Amino acid sequence: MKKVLVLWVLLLAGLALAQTTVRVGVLLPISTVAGKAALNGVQLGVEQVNAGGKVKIELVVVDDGNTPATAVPALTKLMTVDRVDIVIGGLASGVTFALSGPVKQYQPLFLCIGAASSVVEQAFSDYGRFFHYHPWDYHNVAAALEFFKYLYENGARRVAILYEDGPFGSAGIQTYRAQLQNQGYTVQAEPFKTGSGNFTAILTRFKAFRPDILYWIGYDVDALPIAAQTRQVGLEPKLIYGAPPAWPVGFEKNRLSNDVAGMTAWLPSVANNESRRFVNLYRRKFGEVTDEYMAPMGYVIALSLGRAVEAASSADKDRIATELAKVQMDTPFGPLSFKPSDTGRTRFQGFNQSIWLQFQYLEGSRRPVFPANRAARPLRYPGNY
Amino acid sequence: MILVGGVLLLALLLPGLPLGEWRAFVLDTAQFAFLISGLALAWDLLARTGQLSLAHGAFFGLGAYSAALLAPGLGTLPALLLGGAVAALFSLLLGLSTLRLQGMYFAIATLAFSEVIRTLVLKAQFTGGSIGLPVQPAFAGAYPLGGYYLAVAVLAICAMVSLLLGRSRLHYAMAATRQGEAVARVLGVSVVRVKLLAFMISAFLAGLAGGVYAMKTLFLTPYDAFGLGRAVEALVIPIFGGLYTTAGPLLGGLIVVSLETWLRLRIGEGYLVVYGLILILTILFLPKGLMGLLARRKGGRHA
Repeated sequence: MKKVLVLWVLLLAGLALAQTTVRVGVLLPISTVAGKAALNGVQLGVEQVNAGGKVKIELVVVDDGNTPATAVPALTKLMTVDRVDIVIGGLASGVTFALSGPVKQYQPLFLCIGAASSVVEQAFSDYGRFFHYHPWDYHNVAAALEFFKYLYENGARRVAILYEDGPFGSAGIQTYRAQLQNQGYTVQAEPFKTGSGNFTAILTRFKAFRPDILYWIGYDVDALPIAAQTRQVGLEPKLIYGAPPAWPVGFEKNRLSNDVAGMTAWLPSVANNESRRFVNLYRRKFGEVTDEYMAPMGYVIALSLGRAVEAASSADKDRIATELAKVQMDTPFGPLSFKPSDTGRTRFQGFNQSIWLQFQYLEGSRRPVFPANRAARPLRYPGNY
Repeated sequence: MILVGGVLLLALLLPGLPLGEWRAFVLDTAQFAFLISGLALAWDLLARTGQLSLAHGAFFGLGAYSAALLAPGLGTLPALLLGGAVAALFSLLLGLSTLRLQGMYFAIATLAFSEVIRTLVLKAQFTGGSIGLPVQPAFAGAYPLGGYYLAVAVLAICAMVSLLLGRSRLHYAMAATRQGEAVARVLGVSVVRVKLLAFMISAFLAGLAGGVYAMKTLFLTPYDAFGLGRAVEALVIPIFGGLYTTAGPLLGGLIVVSLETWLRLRIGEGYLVVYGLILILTILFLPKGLMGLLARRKGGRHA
């Protein structure tokens, strides 16, 4: 009995010695839907990594408040008080840009979950410990245009763009308009104030234009009024295509959502092993399934970090960064590996436009409809609005 | 006066105090707290004339954008001063057309002004529009504590202006205007001129705070710089601390920011609920703010 006990203790001691422990700061807007989903994903991934036994990741979670005034001191605290060497964060572009100064000052390994703006790419261009997982904004534009090309081939010719007048809606509007015109579309674009709830005047103006596609770039609060009022004014587009950062909760249960299309990086129905595995683990831990792609993004970051730490067998951030640069793994989004960004400004870019997919609300759920190799159902075009 | 002096002295000495590993975090948090307190002091100056402004977020943003655009050519200090001047100029234009309005009507006009300015900055090319504007750090990053001491300086200037105005003849004119414009006119107060002067001084200080804020955050977007949230913060703090005083907004700003930071670190998710509850309870039970409580205690002791 004594021998067994001694062996058991020795085994545990051996395991503890073989285990590499790293302390990781998580800096996210946890009061927002996307930030909370990202945090859930990171925690789920860390749980998986720690269960493997070779690596132990300890998380220090701080709210970035979605504003530079909160995020900058929060990062300072992570670096100087909590003394982390690795930070997962950077969801909103403006906040991430503000973090670029302190990040360069404290030199952590920075694993960036969001921040698609090219301005951020520019800001971190001379920083070698910057790993950006999310596609850049030009990837997003490329993915959407690929879909519009497909629609053009199916007879669509006129696009009415309804864009919110804030940074989200108006940032790429000139590029979109020019690129769509290059594809052969006739474009009419009108701005709106997000959350205003009344679109009938603009939609009525669009009626004379007789658009094939009503393309709206706004927020979740605008989805339902646009879907309802498009019918109310009798606009009858062949497709309503929306591009909000998140869709309203329960939108799929409303019959007005039927046939509305949109773009996302991931859906729970995506048919690959890693996606199914993620959905099962998420359901087991949180008792629900999420549609937010930031959840698997956080999960992927934690898993890839775990692999890099294991390969480095060290908590040294530079050795981990070297191993992270070599990581090749399957993820819910598809394969992940790091390459220089398309512009060459940053050295470690994870995903590109290939992760984006187009979906359509069909019979109460989101179904992937484009590209063909990832479609679960054919696109219903023209839709019934 | 002693309280204000003590706070400013503490702000000056803070970088030298043995704060250990918390030093960098405390200095970062304090820097933002000083700027928000400065903005609250600026808002309170106009409130002393009885006007409720929702344009202070816009003045803060105008100062921020102006300083950010001018700093590469002119240097930090001239850019900050011109940022304040631009805010003051806009307040003059706004004031000339709206200061005859009172109460809610004036508040609505200032809210509309904020929206107009935000939209203009959003649409303009030279401001970076909706993509945002990168900003260079104070003194091009040559002094690590440069931004911190600029924030202390802004707070000191706001507090000094507030104290000096409180002891000037203008103070009586402002108080008379607040208590009744008709009576003030009978007393010989040029009501519109007094309000306009208070508005310009107040906007200049808000713009100054905005400039230093830009040089700390290094990036501006119209929604952050001109957010209504900042205008609301500017009025909540003086109400929390005590209206029409210098120590009220000063202490209020430092306490509100510290409280919010502490709750965020301690509670994490859901801290805003507790934070909101504390503010509601304070406003319910301390209608004259923290300074009212202090005055009551003083009065109690004297009695």
